[in-house]
Amino acid sequence: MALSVRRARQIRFGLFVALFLAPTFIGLFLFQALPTLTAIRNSFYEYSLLDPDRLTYIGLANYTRMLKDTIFFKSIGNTFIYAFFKILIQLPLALGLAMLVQRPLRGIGIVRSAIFAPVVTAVSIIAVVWNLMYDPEHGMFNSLLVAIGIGKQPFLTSASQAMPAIIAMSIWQDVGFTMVIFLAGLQGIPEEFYEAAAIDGAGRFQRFRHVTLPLLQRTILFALITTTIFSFQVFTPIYVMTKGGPLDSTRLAVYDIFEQGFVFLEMGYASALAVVLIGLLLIIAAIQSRFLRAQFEY
Amino acid sequence: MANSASPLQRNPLDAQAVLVPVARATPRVSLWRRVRQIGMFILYAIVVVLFITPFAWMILSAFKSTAEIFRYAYPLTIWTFIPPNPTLANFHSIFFQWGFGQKLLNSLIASSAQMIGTLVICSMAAFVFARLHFRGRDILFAVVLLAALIPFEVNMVPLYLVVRSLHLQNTYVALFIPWIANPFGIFLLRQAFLEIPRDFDDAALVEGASPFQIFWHVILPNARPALITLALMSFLWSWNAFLWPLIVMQDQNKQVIQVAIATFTVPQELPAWGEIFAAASIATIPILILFIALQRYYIRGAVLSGIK
Repeated sequence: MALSVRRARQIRFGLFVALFLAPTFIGLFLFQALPTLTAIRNSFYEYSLLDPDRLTYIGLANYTRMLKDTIFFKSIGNTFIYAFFKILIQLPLALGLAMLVQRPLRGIGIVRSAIFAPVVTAVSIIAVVWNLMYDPEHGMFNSLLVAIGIGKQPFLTSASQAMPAIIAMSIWQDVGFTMVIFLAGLQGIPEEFYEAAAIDGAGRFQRFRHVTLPLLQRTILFALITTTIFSFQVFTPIYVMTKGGPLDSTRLAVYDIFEQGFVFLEMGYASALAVVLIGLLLIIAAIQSRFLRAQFEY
Repeated sequence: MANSASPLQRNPLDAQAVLVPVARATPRVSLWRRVRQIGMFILYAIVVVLFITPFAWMILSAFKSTAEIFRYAYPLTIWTFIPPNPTLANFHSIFFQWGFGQKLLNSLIASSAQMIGTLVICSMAAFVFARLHFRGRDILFAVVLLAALIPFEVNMVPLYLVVRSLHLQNTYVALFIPWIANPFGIFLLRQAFLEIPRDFDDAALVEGASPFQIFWHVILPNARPALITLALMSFLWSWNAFLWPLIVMQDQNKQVIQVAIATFTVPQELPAWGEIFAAASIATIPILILFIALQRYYIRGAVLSGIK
């Protein structure tokens, strides 16, 4: 009797757990695990949406094709260039801004909100507006440049200026996000550390070098890895502003995958490209976390 | 602070309290401080202007005709920004000629559905992971976190194939259903649920409450800030989404505003800057207001997750 009551309760408990977890696991299976497994499988097949009923096993042919795909190599190279300059400028800038808005001054909230406003705005809206700001004929930037005597610039229509223009825009949009991460990190540094350093005669720069930077190492690592991952996922500005041009100078990896999959409808080859991209991303993230940990150990 | 205390209360041995007012009395130091203060103020002002200008240009240009935007681009005057003859013509034409109202509604439907779905599904899973004990629980939670590692951009091609094989393409459901079982949401809510004292559950258990009653009457009401954070973030993700709706929604009548606005720019025929600015302003201003009103919730979520 007592045993069956306990059993009934156990069954009820089990049902409750299953019911509460089922939507999550069905969702994750259908929309995360299944697509990832499908991507890996499809990367060994020739599969075109033009002929969706035919699936031909071609072994590693998609991967060997990649080796000769100079446009894909260019897009990977561009992605590295994009990520490198974005990180190089955005991280120090974000740290500077974080230190600037860290002081508890009246009205500082306005400055913080202004810096963060682009983060909550849609990437596509920002790309649309900056696209017009960069317009060679009527854009705002050329109005300013003509007014100060530099003269009109081609920006997105020039193979040499398009990438820097897109990097500048994306730094403007994302720097507030990195700043907030640094602000949280700075708040975690006890005030006594700075006081102790000041008593030891450390100047502003020395306090920054020997207190702020070492104690911020985990935050810097976090910011570095998230910025890298985001940089490898950029798509919308490219689609809206340049479609990868001029002369493939702004073709980034995700845009290349999108084009193979949804413009040329080569789902198999696009899957192989995606598999390579995520492999690359995992390797870079692993190297970064290893390297930074070794750098800052003391 | 020592400065604000009356002289009688000052400890004569406290060098700071004695020296600081004297030092500040010398005019050179106070002048230097004043210059620095003004310098800092200018720096802050420059930063604000740098981040606000594109928004200002977008919103102000929405009230100009495209011809006027072009005419006042050179030379640079205040009319490059301020509309000389403010007009609502752009708003009129996007709503009455381009069907912008329908796109707005589509975005609202998809974003609200994604927000509600995320809250329901993630809070249920987070409750199990935070409060119930059974074998294998932690492994299941690790599986959830593992799913967070796969970036969507890598999955976009096969995800489209999955959604297509479920016959969901070109439906509203396709816009939000892949994102409501959200590992980040489960992680965020689980953290919040763990912070609720266990005594609350125990008190309810003594009164014979079932797990569901504890979830509904104890956990959810005590986790309101985290629920607001997740509601806000999931709404914004959906509202700002671009690549997924671009792929999965070919029916232009059901397309979301972000894609609709970006494709306004594609036709090479006539530039429609005024209309684009009007549409972009409508898509952005409510979001900025929402953010300013609820920014502490949003920023907490962003810092915790590293996700925008």
